[in-house]
Amino acid sequence: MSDLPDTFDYIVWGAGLSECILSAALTRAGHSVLHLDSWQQYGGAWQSPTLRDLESQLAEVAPGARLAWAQPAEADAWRSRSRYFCLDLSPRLCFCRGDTVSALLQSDVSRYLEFLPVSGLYTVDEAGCLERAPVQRGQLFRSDRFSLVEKLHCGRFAEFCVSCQPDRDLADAGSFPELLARHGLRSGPAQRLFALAVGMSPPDSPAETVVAGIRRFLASCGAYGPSPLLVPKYGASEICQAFSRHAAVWGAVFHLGADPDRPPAEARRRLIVSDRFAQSGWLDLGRKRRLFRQILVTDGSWAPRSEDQQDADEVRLAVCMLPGFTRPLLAMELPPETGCCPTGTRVVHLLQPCSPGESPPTDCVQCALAPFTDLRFERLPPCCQCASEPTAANLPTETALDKNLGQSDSTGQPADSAGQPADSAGQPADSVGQRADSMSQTADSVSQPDDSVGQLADSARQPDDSVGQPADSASQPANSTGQPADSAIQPADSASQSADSAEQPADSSGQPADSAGQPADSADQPAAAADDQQPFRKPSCILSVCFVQDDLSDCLNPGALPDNVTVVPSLYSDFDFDVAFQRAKELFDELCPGQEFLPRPPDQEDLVFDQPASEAPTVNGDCGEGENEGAAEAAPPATPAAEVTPNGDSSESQPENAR
Amino acid sequence: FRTAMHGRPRVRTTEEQRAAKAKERAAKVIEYRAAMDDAMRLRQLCQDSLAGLEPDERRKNREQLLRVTQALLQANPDIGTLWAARRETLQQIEQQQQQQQQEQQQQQEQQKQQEQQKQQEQQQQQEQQQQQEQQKQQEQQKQQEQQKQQQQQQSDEAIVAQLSNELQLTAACLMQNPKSYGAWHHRAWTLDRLGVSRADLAGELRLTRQFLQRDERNFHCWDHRRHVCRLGGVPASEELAFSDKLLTANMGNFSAWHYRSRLLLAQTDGGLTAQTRKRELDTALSAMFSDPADTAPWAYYRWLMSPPSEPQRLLWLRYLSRNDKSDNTDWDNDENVSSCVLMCLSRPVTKAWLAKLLDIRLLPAGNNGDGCRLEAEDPVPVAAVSGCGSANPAAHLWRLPIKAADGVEVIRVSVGADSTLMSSTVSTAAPGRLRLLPSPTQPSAVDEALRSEQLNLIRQLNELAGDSRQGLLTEAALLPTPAEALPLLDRLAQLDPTRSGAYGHARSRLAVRARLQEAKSEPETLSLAGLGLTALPLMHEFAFVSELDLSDNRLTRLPGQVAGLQLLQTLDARRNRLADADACRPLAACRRLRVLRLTGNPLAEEAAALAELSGQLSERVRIELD
Repeated sequence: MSDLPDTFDYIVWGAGLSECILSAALTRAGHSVLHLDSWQQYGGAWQSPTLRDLESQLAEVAPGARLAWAQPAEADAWRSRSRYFCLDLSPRLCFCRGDTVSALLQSDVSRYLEFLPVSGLYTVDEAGCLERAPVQRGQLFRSDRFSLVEKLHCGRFAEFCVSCQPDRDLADAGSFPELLARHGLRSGPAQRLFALAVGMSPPDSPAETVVAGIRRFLASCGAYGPSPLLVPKYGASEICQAFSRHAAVWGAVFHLGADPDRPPAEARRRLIVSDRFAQSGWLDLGRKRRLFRQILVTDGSWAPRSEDQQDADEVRLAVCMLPGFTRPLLAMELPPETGCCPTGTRVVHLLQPCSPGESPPTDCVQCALAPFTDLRFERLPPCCQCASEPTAANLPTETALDKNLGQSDSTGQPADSAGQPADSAGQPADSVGQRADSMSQTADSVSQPDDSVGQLADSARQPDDSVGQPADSASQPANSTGQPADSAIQPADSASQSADSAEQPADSSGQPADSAGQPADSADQPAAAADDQQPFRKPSCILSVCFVQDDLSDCLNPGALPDNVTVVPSLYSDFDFDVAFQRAKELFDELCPGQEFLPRPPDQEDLVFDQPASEAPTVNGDCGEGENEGAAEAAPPATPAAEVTPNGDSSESQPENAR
Repeated sequence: FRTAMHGRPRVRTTEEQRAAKAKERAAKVIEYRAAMDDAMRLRQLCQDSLAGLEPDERRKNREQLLRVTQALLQANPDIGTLWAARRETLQQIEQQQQQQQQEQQQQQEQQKQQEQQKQQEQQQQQEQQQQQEQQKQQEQQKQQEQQKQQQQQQSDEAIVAQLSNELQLTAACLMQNPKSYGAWHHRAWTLDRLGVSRADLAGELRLTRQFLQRDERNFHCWDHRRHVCRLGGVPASEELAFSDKLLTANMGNFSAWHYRSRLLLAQTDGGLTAQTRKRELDTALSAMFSDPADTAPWAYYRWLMSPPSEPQRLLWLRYLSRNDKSDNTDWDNDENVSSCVLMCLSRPVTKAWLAKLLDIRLLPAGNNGDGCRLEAEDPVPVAAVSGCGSANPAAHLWRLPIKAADGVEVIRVSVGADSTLMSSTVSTAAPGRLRLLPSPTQPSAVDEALRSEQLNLIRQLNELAGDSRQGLLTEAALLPTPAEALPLLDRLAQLDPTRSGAYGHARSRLAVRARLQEAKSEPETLSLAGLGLTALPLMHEFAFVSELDLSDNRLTRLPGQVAGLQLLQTLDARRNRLADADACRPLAACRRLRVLRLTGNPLAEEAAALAELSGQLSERVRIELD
């Protein structure tokens, strides 16, 4: 600690995205910056923990979160592969020509990052089925959901959106469906394509809003390949880390795991505080916006592999409206290629923002998102919170649910387990993990009755365990008012089950052959192997994590702030990174008026050192109280000069650092 | 803390960078030259080495040559000489290995013979052990055969290893320059060398796919893919699926559409089935509606709807005789030839092609038998359409000299034996000297219902998307009669002024075609007046006319094909845009021309130009300016 100065120009609390960008910008502008966070991970609310870290820190980073294994018996097997997971708390998208990308390129921070294009965009049709949105010309050309004339109108409408001047052409355009109808597009697929998939807005919003979204989307097309959207490899916290590294290279000091009550230094100019560290009076929580989040780990994709992508699987998005919400749901499916999950699995992130003051149909995240998830995935863990609500009004529902569960257990499961070997035989190239999976599944199906009992017992136990429970029990009246909504979800549930049972005959048709004995079975399998078009199998859920995040960006109470304090919102409910960059730039312009925001650093090859390396004095960093102020040795400035690594865990949790 | 930051970066000036780069480049040039000299020297050595050097030394030279050229080619894959040197060397290695094998075999056989001789001697001495010896002998033979097989396998493996090294090298070179002629050629050569059994053709197709994904217009790569498909007998259906994928990625991929058309033709042996055509039309329409501005699917669509090309056939025959008093023209310098037949074919042919198939028979009066075959005379091309000036020009019109035609009433001309389209007769007597052959009813490519359905779709698209070049062109192509398409071509010329010349030509063609289709009482006079012609297409079809009316058109010059009007006597070219004598130059070849009407042309206003023109033409031509 002795070498650490007593004062810095700026002290930043919170390692979230805006904060990291801001500290990089301030450092590049020549200010000294001390960056602190109480958590042990970079990223703050944007961190991408491993499976173990998520499990252990969930209560801290997302109070009220609920983590449930579909098959609790498998949990340990997955925990042993913990480090293959980067489970984003706040996954977001990059527009190829958005502020994020231009800032990354301009500052050359992009050198630390890798991105993958989003190549599959989906919406959900009236029947609840996923519908690939033909956002590229070639996809529109191949689509069979549009008539010839509609295809023409789609192209013309996209051209209109690009070329129109919103102030002039859209001033009295009315609602978006009206605008579309004026362009000859009245069908459901067309509305979903433009409003949801391209505009990422509710279909009935004003034309101006949606067209702005469309313009933004289309402007990014063709920048880096056909897809306008990118996702960072290894999770969103990579971007935070890249900016932290950039800041550290230029002299900022980072210290994770700091105690908010005992700041190690004073700020000479200004204290920049993430809203996580804001004092209670600084924020007006009435204006907060909630963001429903669910992370699902599944054993496969929700859509069959598309034809044009042969080598790598796609990053897929789905945008749709859920009943009871005014803003669309974003579902993001990340394949192993993103480095976010092991081979044979997918991570699905669901983001459902609520408008301020909006009361969603239920406060239970899993129930609220069930209209999407139930039709996509199998073996979703039962929603314990709602199922076991001990109110009298809930009891009939519970028994109904119980019965449903029982039914599916008694009729569905054996058929399922019988179908399992055929399934695994049909996919010979599956990874080891999958085999382990199916093995454990068969093991499970043997012990199924006990298991389901155990799950019910689990669910009975859950309320005491969960951190969110006190809040929940406090809001019991609210829950009981939510009861009708709950029962409204029930039909959807049973509908999905009927869909299940509709599928099961197909499964069970293979079953007699199975039970009849080997010869029939072996006769069956070559036929299955010869069939190129394997029947699409719904992916099974492995793990589900539900939580609620708060978007406090509108909650600042500027009057209550001390003079030398700036509060940075840590999170946004937008689907992309750009807001974080815009906010960081605004704050930077406020703090350092007239200075360039993140100027381009000189190229590595052009660096010439004034002093030979041998003459450069070394600084011996003192280690004290578990913190290590990195040594600014004679290393070239590309390596972090003063990056503080909290402890040994970081190498596991941050694959980027390891490389 | 900041004071501890040492090694502050300083950006190097651009002059420093420039100097450093120049230095680097100079070093590279020296290195390259040395390596190049080395390669040439080694190549020389390898070629000469058959004379003096030891086998070991030769082998070393070859290996070194391969090493040096590899390094050079990796730096610059476009040095064809080095690829050639590699091919030579590889062939030498292969030959040498084959030689070695043969030598070894010979040696072994000799040894065997010697052993057998010895054994025979031994057998004589030790007859008791005969049976045992035989057994041994058999075993030895087996061993020897095995050895032979092993050796063959070894040498085979060595060659395969060397060739797969070539594949790796070319792949690396192509990564650097995907359009290197030398590297692609060398790769194809290597694959041929490996043959179907040893080459990994699936991998090769994967490679071409990757290159085509990177650059869909890499024609080298397309060629290579076709080569691989030919080599491996890849079915057309698989390649169609491949082109499907490319089109999904980019439906403006002209090459993929074209590849598709070739594959379909190969698959169905020429003509598309109605089902295939409908499917492909739907695909193309979907692409056209998705983006009407993309020209590639339009071109493919027009190809799908285009009629099959006209078959080769005789269009007309015309008998000419020197003895004819009205025909006192010096149309041939050969005094022996008293008469000739003018023959017109629907497609231009060359003399070599014609000479092989032509069969002229003279049929005496009343004799409908075989007649006597005329001795082969060289046919003379008239107004060749291509290859003018070369030894073997192609022409529609041919003059067939006829010797000794006295007493002959009918001449039969056949081109090729078995086709009724290619054989006809012409009379030498005055009324029947022109024989016009009726055009056979052609089976159209698409039936009428499909055509009108498609026409409606295209009209709908044009209405919605607004007039576009492709849209109007396609609509014009789908219209049932030429006359209906004329207004569309006028609109096209307005819409796209840069190509108005081409549209004028197309329009002229349609207008002339329409006029020719009208039934005529007097075939030897033709009026093309007032058709707005800017060009004179299809002239061979009416090259027998004696009177031609071209007045009130927009001709700026008379095309060279006018020289084919061998019987033309009166040409009315009033009110055109003929500017100078040069515009009428082809008329000089019309030997029977007597009257030329030029009023209303810029040419007629200038005395100098007129004088020049009458100098070009024979004195028998009267230029009328009324």
